Amino acid sequence: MKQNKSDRQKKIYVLIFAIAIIAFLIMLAAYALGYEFSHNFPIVLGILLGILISSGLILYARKGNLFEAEYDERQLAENARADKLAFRCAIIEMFVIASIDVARINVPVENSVLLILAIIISAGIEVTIRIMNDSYFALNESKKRYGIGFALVGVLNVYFGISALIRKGAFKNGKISFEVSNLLCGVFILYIGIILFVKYLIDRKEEADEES
Amino acid sequence: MKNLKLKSARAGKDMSQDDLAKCVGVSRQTINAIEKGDYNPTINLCISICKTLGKTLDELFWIGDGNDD
Repeated sequence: MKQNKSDRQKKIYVLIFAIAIIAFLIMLAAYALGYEFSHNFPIVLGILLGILISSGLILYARKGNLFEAEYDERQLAENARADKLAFRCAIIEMFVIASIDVARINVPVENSVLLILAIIISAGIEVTIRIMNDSYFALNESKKRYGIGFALVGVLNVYFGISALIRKGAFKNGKISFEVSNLLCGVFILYIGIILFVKYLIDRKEEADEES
Repeated sequence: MKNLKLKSARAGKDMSQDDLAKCVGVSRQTINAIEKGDYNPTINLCISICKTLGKTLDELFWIGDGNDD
C-alpha cells in the first residue's frame, strides 16, 4: 500500500540536489580565490549551505534513502489537502505584500522579511495540518532522527540569528531588516517541536484508549 | 460511521493496530482512522486488510441494514 515517488520525480530531486552542490562548490572555490559575486554572496552561500545541511538531515532521518519517502494512501491525500491550503495562503500573502509595495504603504519591516514571514506562515499551515493528520512523517522515516535534526537546525538558526542581531542589529533605516530571518526560522522550528509534542501526547492517549 | 467489524476481526487475530498497519504497509493512524470511520480506504487497501485478517470484503466492509455497526 506504500506509494513511492515516480522515477521522474526522483530525477528532478537529484537534479536540484546536484545543482545545489555544484553551485555551492563553485561559489566556495571562487570565494577561496578572492572573487566576490556581489555583496549578497554570504547570503546565497548560506542558503546553499542550508540546502546541503537539510539534505544531509533528511538522508539521516530516512536511513540513507534521500529520495524515497513512503507515504500510504491516506497520508498522500492529507498531504495534498495541506499543500492546497498552504498554496492558497501563499497566494493571498503574496497579494498582500504586492499591494503594500504598490500602494507604497510604509510598514516597519523590509520586503525581504515580509516574504520570509509569508513562507513561514504558509509552511506553518502545511506542517500543522500534516502533523495533526499523521502525514508529516513518511513510513520509512525515523521520528527520533528527525527530532535530532530539527533540534540541530533550530539551535543553528537561533545561534546565527542572535549573533547577527548582536553584530548588525535588528533595524536598518528604521525597518526590521533581513538579519532577523535566522531567528524567525528558529522560532518556526520551535513551533514545529511544540506541535509534534502535542501530537505525541494525543497519540499516546489514543494508544492507551485502544489497549483499554 | 465506526467500523467495529474490522476492530473485532483484528482483536480476534490478537493483533494491535500497529501490527495490522505493518502487515498491510500503512501507518497505525490510518488503521485507527478506518476503524473510527474517519477515512474510507481504497479497494486495494480493503483487499489487503481482508487478506491479512482472513476475512472477505463483505464481512469487514459491507454496510447492511443498520445492524452491521
